[in-house]
Amino acid sequence: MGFTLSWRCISILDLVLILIGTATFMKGFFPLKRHLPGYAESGNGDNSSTIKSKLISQMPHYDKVVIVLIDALRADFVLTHSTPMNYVQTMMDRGKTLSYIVKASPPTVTLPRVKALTTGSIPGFVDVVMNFDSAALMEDNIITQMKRAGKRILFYGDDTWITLFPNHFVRSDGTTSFYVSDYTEVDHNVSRHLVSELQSLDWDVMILHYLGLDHIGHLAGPKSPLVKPKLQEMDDVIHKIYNALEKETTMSSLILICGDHGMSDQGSHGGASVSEVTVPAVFLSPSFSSVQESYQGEIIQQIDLSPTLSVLLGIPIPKNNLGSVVTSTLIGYSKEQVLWSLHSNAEQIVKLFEANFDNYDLDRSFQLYRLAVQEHSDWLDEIKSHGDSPAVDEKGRSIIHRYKLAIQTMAARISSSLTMYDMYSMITAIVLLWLVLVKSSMGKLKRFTRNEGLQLSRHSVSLIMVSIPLVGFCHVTICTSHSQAESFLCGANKSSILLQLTIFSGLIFQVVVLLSIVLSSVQKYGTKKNRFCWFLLIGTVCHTFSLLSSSFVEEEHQTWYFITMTFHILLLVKIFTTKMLLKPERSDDVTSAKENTENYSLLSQQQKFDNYFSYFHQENSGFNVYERKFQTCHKSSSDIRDFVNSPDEKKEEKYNEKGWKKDDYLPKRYADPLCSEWFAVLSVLAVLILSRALRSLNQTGNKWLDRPDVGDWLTRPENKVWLSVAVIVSLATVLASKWGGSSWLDRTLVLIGCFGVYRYRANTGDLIFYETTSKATTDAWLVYAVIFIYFFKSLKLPFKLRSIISTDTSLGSKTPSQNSLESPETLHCLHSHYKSDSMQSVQDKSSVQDKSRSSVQDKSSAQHQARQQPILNASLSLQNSGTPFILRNHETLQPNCRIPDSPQSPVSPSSQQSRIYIIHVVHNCWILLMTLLMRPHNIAFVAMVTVQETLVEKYLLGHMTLSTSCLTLYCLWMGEASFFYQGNSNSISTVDVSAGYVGLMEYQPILVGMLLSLATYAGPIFWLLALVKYIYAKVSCPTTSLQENKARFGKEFTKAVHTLILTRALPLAAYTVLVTAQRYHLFVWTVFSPKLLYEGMFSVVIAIFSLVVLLICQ
Amino acid sequence: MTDEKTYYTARKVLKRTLAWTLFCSLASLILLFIPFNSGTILDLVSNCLVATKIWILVILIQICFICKSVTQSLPSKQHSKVGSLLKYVAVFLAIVPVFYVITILFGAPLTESRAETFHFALLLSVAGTFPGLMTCGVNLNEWSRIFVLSSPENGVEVVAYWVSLCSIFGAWLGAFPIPLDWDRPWQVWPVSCVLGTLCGYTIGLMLSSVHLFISYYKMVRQKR
Ligand SMILES: [Zn+2]
Ligand SMILES: [Zn+2]
Repeated sequence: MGFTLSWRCISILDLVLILIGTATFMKGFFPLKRHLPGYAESGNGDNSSTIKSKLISQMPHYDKVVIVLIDALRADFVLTHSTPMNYVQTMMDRGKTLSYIVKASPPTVTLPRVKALTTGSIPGFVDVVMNFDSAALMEDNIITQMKRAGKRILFYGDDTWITLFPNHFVRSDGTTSFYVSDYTEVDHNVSRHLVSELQSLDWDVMILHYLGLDHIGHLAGPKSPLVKPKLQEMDDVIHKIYNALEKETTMSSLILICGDHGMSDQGSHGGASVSEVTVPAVFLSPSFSSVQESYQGEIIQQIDLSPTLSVLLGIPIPKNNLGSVVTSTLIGYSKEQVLWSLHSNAEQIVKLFEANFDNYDLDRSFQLYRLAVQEHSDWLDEIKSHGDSPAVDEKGRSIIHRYKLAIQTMAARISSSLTMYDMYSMITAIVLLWLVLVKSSMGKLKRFTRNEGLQLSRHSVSLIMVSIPLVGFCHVTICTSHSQAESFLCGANKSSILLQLTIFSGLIFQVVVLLSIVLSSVQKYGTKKNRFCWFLLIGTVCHTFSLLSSSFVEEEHQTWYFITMTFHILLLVKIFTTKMLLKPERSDDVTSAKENTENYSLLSQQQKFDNYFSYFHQENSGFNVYERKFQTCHKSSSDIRDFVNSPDEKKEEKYNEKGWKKDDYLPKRYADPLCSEWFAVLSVLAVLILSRALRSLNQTGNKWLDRPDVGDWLTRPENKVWLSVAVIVSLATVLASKWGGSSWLDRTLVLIGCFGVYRYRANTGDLIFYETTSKATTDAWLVYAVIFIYFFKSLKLPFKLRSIISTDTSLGSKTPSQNSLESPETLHCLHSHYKSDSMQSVQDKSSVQDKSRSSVQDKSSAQHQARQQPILNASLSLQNSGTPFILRNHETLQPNCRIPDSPQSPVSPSSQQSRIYIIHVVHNCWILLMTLLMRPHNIAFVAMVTVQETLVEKYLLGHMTLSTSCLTLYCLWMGEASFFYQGNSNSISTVDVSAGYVGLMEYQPILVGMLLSLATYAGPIFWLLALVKYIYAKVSCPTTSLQENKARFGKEFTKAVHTLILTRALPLAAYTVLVTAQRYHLFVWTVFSPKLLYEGMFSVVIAIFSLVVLLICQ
Repeated sequence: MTDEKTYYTARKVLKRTLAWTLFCSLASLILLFIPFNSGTILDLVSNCLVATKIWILVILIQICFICKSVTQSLPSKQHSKVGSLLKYVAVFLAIVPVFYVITILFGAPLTESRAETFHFALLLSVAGTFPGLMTCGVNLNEWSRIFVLSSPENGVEVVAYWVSLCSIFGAWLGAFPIPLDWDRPWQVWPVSCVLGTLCGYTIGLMLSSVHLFISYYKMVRQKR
């Protein structure tokens, strides 16, 4: 018994398992926070505390608090003397403010920052991902505490607050943060409520969250001229609030102006750079009078704001808070009161400490706390007995420091332990990923090309039978053990059990397949890889190893730029040496070797000597060949030169004449009629220069991020004209490179598309020359519509084509001749001869080929003539209907169509051609979509990449002679490089959020997510689509039957997908191990985790792409 | 009798090249590692431009010595003619901008530190193409025979082959430490690349002496 598993099936399962493995790992890796449930009660602690205090009731607090949260407010927007916020500046000078530099912890994204501000705890990394989907906050936080204290809270601004704190606000109005290009309306919606609210003053707390500045940052960066008026607008708002509160003299009031996170010099945020994590916090109150200069500019943590506000408002400190009260804000508080607030802060943290550590009382930080409490009670006794004195005052100050130290050390201990890793899920996922990797690479090494599937032996059934109870037993044992009981993989609900079943059956499946591969007797069947293939392979592996270093993760783009550049330089060298350097010899080659020997006497002494030496070196057998004649020597060396000379038909003939066995010496030949060497050299040069230009378009990474780049220069408002010119030129380039060979309808569609893109950007205000008053979204929809029409038109066209061709071929098929082995190939070359007759080289080649087959042709020339006719007709009709360049391409790429085994193969090129046409259209659609989604200066990126791709397709692919797997690697390399060319990096902050909202009126999570990931991975997808195009062109052969071609497509695409699986499994397997080993590393949250997210997301993209390819492209 | 004569010529060539290569590689090693990070004029980290200039001279002299020793022994070599010398200089001057452009393509800054990039290009063309130029001249066929077919004849060509390849490969490898966040002075462009080139050059000399030694050994054994 035993059964066969097709490779396609295995590939699909692999893809799914890679995704599941990665997801499981991430679920286990991104820490689960262990936080205390419930809410802190006021006055809870003083029964157990040693300090009897009557101070609580006398604690002063503010009755009216306004929190003005300005999104992405950088510290230097407010805290410098050149700030546009003049009013705040004058208040600072008058000593009415307390200003702080606040350090936010990464990820610097709004939702985690708001959580940090309100709960005082450090949100986990997962909150970044959940940023787009926020649910109600269940942790203890100051907003809930305010509500419990009976305060009336108002909220105006970013609606994430309303989802976070449902039913907390008396009045609220949420604005959506997702329409990034709007920066006036969004703030107007907040400010319009101010007038009435400031008149009524029937509230206790008002929270305003302004989004405009953040949107300006995303659109134009911090140096944009839009920033200054926005800050002045914010200044005005603060002025109004202050005036209104100042009038109300009966109650004390406080205004807090702060930012949630900063913005990088590119205008985005999410990372850990200084400009992203430093924000200002300005406390402003009419009751402050002449605050000393020394209090200005103290550095505090963002989580400190939550306990500080709690104290200032007289509410309990949230249970999970890790911050410490900023004592300098407690103006008007007596020393006892300050100490009391610190004491309650410390008590709250101690509770958290007790919950996190089993034997907490042995810990050094806890001892610090005990000491502080002891001294505190001593000091209180001292005050009781002796009253106030300078010495007592001094001692009080030292106790404040003790408390602070205790709080900080305990908080540090807790926050380092708050990260709890689910090791069981992580290790299971790692094992799964490694199994996929090892199995795939074994499968690659023992490539079963002959049979289409993998034979599973009968032992595998028994293996499965044995392993199921074994794995089940292990799983149950681990899950019931104490340490892993909370593991994500041990869940008992339905979906969790389903996941467990999938993962473990996946594991068993992988083991079985691996064993069958290892045990199978089929030996390696493969062609020799050429040097480029080896370079690609080694480069891929080395790149994976480079990811183990954090700097190479941050500067990953450098690696890709460097190795793609090296690849193209090597290609240039290869083309140059084989084609150019040895060309002079070629003319000699046409004449026979005899002439060479006659000429030999004319050669200089020097050359003779050289030849002599070269020959004995060639032989490699030492000096015994000295006896050989000069003639032999020269002949041999010239032959070797021929060998390098990438022999075409002429050489082949020559070798045949001489009786050489061509198979012994010929490398896998590529006949590339249209690839003139000069064109190849020029296009490699163009590709190289474009790569360099692309590299300086968007500076990315970490080390040289602040270097000026072309993109920055173009987006500067004073260079709007240049940006517009660049966009127009780029669009024209895109048009031009896709112009040739397409039908007029297609051209018109692409033209309209480009026009729509420009109009869209002009209407959003990025470009000039064509501003209209209409809404920008309609233009975006126009482009979407064009893309859809273009795509669906391409699906329909082939039917028309097919009908044309079928009528033509019906003529030919009437002669049901016995297809001799040679005839289809001859037809093929005549066919190609006809279509590319403009090129001299083609003529040469095919005429030679003709000659070589002349005997066959003579025999049945009439027949050939007859059968040739329909093909020519077909190609003519194709030319008329606008697809010749596609045909030309696949002609050039397909070196040797295999002669069909089945003699009755009907000649029907239509099917492949329609497929090739469709993939071309899909590629063009993708280019249009890229121009629409990318920021305006990145349209230049699209143009340059398009030109690169066109050059590679037309002139270079033939020179690379890559196998399908290596071609896949090449496209992946180019894709990775272009991923970074477009400005991405391995930090979350470079994701271009605005791309998700192109053409959308409102926030639609799925659409936004889709557009965002498409735009982020635009470059890689571009090259992957190009890969499909290349493979179709490489494999399809117009002379073979449809069935045959289908099988070949299937095989080649399975190969390509197999390579893709390997290139995904390799970094994921290596990376998960690294991240697990380095989980306490300093950079784990800022470097390794974002990279893991990027890898996971890229795997999703690749998996979807591969599944589509496997299921559709055949 | 011609066989005997050729044999002896070949042996002499080998011996001489071997001796000179050994000497030069030792000299390079000493020059490269003793002044490293010392702050003297030969120190690449602190005096990159000057040290590069000196190194260019050193390499020129070394290669000239190696080649000259051989051309003396071969009556038919015509490297010393003034006309051909001018030609070489012209070719050489044409190669420097090519290397400059390639360096820029690989990501060297376009506008800043042009002097450094130029010096690096000069060094690279000296170490990477000068040996080839000295042995093959401007004969493209010779070049392709040595470097494309990797079949240098025993003697100077072996030196040219190894030195050129190793220098260029070393320069290529030298770029890798630049992105690391160690913030060492030698990570600054182009110090690590210059260092890589020089190490490659030295290793190339050593490899060629090994290669020559093996050939020599084989030759002697064959004769016996
Ligand atoms: Zn924000
Ligand atoms: Zn933002």
